[in-house]
Amino acid sequence: MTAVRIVVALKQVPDLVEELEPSPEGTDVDREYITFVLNEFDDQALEEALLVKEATGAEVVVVALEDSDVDQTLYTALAKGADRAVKVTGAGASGGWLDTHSRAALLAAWLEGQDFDLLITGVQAPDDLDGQLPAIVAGRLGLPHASVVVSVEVKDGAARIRQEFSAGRSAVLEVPLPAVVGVQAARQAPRYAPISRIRQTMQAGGIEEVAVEAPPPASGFTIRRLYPPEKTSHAEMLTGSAGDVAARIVELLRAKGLVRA
Amino acid sequence: MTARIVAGAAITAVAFVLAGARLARLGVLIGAGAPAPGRMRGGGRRLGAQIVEVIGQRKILKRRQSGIPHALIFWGFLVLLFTIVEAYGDVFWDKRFAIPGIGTSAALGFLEDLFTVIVLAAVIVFSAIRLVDSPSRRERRSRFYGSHTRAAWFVLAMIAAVMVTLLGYRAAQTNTGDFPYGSWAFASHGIGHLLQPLGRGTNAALETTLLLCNIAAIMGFLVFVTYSKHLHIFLAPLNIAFSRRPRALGPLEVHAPAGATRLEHLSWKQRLDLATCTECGRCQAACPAWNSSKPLSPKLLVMGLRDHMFASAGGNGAGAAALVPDVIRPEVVWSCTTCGACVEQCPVDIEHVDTIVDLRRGLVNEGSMDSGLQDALQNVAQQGNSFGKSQRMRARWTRGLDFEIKDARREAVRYLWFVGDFASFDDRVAESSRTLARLLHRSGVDFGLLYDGERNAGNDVRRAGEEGLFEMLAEHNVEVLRSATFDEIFTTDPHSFNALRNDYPRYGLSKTVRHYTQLLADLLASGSIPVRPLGARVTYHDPCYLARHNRLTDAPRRVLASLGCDLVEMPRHGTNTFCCGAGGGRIWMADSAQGERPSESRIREAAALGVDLFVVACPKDFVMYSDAAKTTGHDDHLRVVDVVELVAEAARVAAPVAPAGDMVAAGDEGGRP
Repeated sequence: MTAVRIVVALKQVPDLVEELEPSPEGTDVDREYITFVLNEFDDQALEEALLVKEATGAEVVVVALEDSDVDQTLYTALAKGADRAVKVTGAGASGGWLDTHSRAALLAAWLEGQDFDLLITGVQAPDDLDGQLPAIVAGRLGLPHASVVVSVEVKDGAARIRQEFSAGRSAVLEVPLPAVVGVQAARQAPRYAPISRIRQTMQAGGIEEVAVEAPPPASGFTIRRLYPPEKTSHAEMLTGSAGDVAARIVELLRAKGLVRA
Repeated sequence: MTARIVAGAAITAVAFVLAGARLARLGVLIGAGAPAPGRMRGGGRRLGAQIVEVIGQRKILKRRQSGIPHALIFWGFLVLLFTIVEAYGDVFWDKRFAIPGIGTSAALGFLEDLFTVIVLAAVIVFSAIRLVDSPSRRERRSRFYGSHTRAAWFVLAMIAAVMVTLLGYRAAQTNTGDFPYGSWAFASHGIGHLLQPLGRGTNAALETTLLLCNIAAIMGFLVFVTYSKHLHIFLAPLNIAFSRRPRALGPLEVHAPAGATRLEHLSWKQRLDLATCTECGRCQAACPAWNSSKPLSPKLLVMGLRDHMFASAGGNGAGAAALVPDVIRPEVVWSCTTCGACVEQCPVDIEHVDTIVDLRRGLVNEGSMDSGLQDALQNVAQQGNSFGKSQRMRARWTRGLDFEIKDARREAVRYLWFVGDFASFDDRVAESSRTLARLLHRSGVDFGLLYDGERNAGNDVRRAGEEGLFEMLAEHNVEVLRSATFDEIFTTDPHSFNALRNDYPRYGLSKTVRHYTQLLADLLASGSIPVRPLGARVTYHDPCYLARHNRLTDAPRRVLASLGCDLVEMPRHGTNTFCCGAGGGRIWMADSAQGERPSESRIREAAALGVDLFVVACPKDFVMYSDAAKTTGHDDHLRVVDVVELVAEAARVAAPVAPAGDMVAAGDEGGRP
């Protein structure tokens, strides 16, 4: 059996140590003065893929759209042990913010020409809190999909995955390959990439750039306004004796029509 | 006579073969080490070290109790080299042999006898020390814990045997008429008197027997030395000859950026270190890790690596083992604060810190480390500071000032203030940064900052084993420093001070680097900061990276003297200071709560002095000791305070709580012209 090929999709997100502000147009964060880092769930996905590599000798290919500071992330992935790094370029892949549907469409367009067994990516991202990316990519490629995954093991053409649910429950599933997996957490904390090794990979180059033609917009929605959460109400502290406070509470409830009498 | 010659020759030949074979094997083993650049340069300095450290026994005499008897035995053996020549002369030449020229002088006879007696007395002192500090009773508290104590006792017995047989045959010679010395050889003649009644024949037989026994004891000792930890007799002068100068503790070297993971990565100097260790345990006794129940003993680390090195020489493939975790446990390697107390103490100039950092480099290169350290390194790599805050927040601490500090990248300044992470980002320490800024501003000092151009200096990053990240930081900082215009640098943090002063020259920095206490001392001395005496009873904690690594102990004390403080020194002060436990990246790592922390031990040491203030000159010390004062319950009577706050108190410019008018008045009272 030839080695399993795992593709890990990585995505850059704004580094939250900087204060985010809406752009002048009010439809995106202001991208000019902030730095971008790897989405933390994608970091977990990469770690899980590297664990599979260590266990089975799988090949790990990382792929990312041409987001800000993405080279650093791809080189770091190579330093950690990824075998290849691919940067998807092209009119649709770079520039401003891309919604999850467009992102998934680009990824799927690239993946269609690829020979791979497993796509692993982070289960969610700050701009994809409902975790649509892995599901949409799987849908576009017609592949089985599982999310909220906390462990992936590959054996005999199938992936044994563990999904974590609430209340401490989890399920172990077996998925035939190829498949798409959204990782919640890797089996161990993401490893450290020594700076000297990152620098070595940078000197060696080796990021493959692939232009992918942008598919037509897929989501059908546009952002009208992006803004910090607005204060909609404020708390009023009730002070005084227990009797006073109780009377005030009753008064408030009456005013809101929540109690009669 | 022939029998004497045959026996003497046989003993000597066997000993030379055994010892020679061993020394040759050691030579191969050490010589196979990786290169150690620069260890041959500076012959004059190295010769000086031989005189001061070997002949003069400087470092060993730091501990008087064991140092004095050791020095006496060492000097005794130098004198007694003459008796070895005499013994061989007696065996192979003539019973009446005397060293030509000086062989019959009263002085030599006296010195030989004197030192024979002194060495015997020293052996008794050493025995007493070993009995009192017995590891079987005192366990970890004994500096001999884990040392080969039976071998040590055997060595003492051998020394005694050499002395006793020496005195014996000399005494017998006084009765056979073969003794070359007169009555000045008091011990030989004294014992000779006791042997006289035995008659001339018995004394002659006794002389032959004891003489051969003496040679046998010396030769036996020679062989044992080469096969035991007592090898230091031969290797200490070599190890001292090749140690770092002017001190064994100094700028870190990089022989292998990826660190040492297998024996082959250790340089020949590191291997010589291992073979030289005499297991005296002075390093262990001074080690803050060992003293806070951590698994690291610098001595046991060296012994472990040494045993591994010797085992691998058997060709059994042991050399393929991973130094960590197969030979040394990772917890041991990570316990080190790189404070340098071990190197400072080591009488044979073993450079423990270098080897520990090499082992750490190996671990970091494999990505194997404590999660707290990993977070800190990632923060430093990503944001340029260990706090993981935005680089743009670096100079936010200056906001509380009512004046603007110059940006040295935009306008020329006399002093470039390299503030450091803790003094910039930690709220408690930032207060002291503002105090220092106000003092300097008020005294008319022309200074500026790099603002968001400054990044973590990398001292602790480097000592945690992340050499690549350190290089990146150093390259960045040097580049930014080059873009600024200034005459000198001063730092708040002793760790940054050390990096900028000792590590950065390799990256092209060639400016004078000072510590803020030096600046304050000068300003106080010149009257630029007028002060009123505080009259407080204080103690001062020397930061490792100021006092031990950089020999800077005077400036903070000058400051305290200028403030009229009554300084009561702790037992461990100056270059013998005791680490707070935060150095070498330890501050980022999880601290298992077992045992007393070094900082707590230190606070108790200070509390016993009955002082009111525990003065520090390092941001990390302020954080560590403020916590330790609380956890030990001493915070109600012992206040931890940065020296700059004391200066401010004395100058009354400090507190924002004090109204501005009050500040001016205080300045006037302080004698402002």
